[in-house]
Amino acid sequence: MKNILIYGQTDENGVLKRGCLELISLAQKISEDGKISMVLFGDESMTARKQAAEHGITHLIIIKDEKEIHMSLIKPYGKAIKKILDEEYFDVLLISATPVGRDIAPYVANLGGYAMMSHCLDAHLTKAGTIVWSGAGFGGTLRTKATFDGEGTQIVTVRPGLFSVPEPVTDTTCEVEVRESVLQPDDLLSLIRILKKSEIIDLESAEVVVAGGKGTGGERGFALIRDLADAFGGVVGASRQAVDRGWIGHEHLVGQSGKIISPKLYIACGIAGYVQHLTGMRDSGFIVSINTDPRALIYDVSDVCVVGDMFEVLPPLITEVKKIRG
Amino acid sequence: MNILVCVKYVPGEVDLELNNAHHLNREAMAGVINPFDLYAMEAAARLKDEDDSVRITALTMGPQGAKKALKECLALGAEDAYLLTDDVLIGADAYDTAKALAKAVKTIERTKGAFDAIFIGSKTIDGNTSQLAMRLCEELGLPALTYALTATRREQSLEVLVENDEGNRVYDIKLPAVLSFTKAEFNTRYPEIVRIIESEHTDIPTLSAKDIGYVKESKKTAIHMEEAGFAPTEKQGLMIEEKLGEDSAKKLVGVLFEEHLL
Repeated sequence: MKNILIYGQTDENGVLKRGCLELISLAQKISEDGKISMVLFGDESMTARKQAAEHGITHLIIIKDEKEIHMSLIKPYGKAIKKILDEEYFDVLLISATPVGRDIAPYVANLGGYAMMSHCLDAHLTKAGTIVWSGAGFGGTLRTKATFDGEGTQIVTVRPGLFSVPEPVTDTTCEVEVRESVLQPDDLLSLIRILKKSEIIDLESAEVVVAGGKGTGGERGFALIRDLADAFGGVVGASRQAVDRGWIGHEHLVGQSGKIISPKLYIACGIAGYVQHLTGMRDSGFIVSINTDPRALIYDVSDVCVVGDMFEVLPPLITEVKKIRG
Repeated sequence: MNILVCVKYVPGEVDLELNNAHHLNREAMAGVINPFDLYAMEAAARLKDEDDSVRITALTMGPQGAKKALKECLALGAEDAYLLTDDVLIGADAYDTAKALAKAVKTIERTKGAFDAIFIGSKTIDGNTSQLAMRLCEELGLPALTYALTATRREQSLEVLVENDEGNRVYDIKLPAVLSFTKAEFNTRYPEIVRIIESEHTDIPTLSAKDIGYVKESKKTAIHMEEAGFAPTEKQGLMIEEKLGEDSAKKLVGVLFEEHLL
């Protein structure tokens, strides 16, 4: 039996990030009916409290503090999580590899004298009850399986987008513990301003990403890509070829120098598939590529390869997807 | 202003080799400076462009071959460079690396004076653990900002533009501090030929674990690599190649529906 603690990151509205809900599925897979706890920062009235209970959290610790974490809270929140680990033994601490999670996890690990595993893709239990963590190295070129030595808490960040959110259930019991915060934000850091917040592109937590490359030919092609992404309720991605031509902003870049993502569905349109791009998306759940070149490199990592002109395939595809998704 | 830039010499993209312990065989590889570290070096060099009194020191931990990365830093604008190398550091994880680098920083500070800022890359293209900045800042007891794009000098602080999915942010961070840099939209500079030639003649001191007073510490957990291998390179994907785009689209919709993706 494994007791698992999840850090539940919330947004400014007190809603849990999708990646944190996905962690509950992973926790259920490896907990052997152990306790699945979550620590939240915010207040008792926040939506995240209900979300956590509905999706399978049985023990919730709410620390009264800011709902939305920002840079100057990373250290104090890390200290609070470390304190929980000191007071109660958890076999595993799971943190979603969001930009914040990627900073909190090593900070907690360092405070407690732990090693930690970054950006895991999956985990399974052996018959002997050992958790084996799967990861990727060198931009997805290397696949690894690793375990933890030692008796301490296994601290792991998990890439968002790889697991489903557990189905909500209503008749759950969740023990809620509310703690007063004693945390002081790091006053050596201050936020001066936030630039362009007009368009939020959360490539890393998107379930569906529709991406365009050189083959989109520019704005006309990206208009179709945007329509398809909207039809799926997804997000627009792009290859270096498209970004460098100024067809779309750098924040959409998927690949070695952009975002490394693993949505459930990745649709690549007019993307050749150079290794730098593959690095960013090859761990996606299901990959569809649409290209006029039947020898395109992207087909090597694709589950479905559509050979054809995106300007002919995308319009009927958008219509069909809209029809089905209503 | 005194800046330390930490860089890692990483294998180039081709010819990866694994040893018996499932670790990358670092001695055997032709390497490059981790691209993210080049942005840390660029940020330091830009501060130096603005103010000639800025001094840059480069530090790397790795085998003797990693001196190549330090020579490149010298050519890019660093005045000094140190190689931290020791058998005890082979196979060091992020925990060990942060402890060792912190000790090396303290050791170098004894001769070069205190550093106002420590710049590193936000991640590496080999291990990609992205752990070091937050571990190092804790070891040194300094504030940190991660995923920085640019840094501008203010009186007692740096104004830092940080990448954020919900709109980039500008922070003010009091010095001394640790900053990790990510790739920005601009390219990093090329070294000047004169400096490349000079760097060949610059002495690069070597620090051993003993020199910095590093002893491998035991930790509560350690990672044991069970298996490492190359990812399958080719999937045999389903080909859809209908004459009409509409027919291809319909066939694709059918597949997505069966896969519960629609």
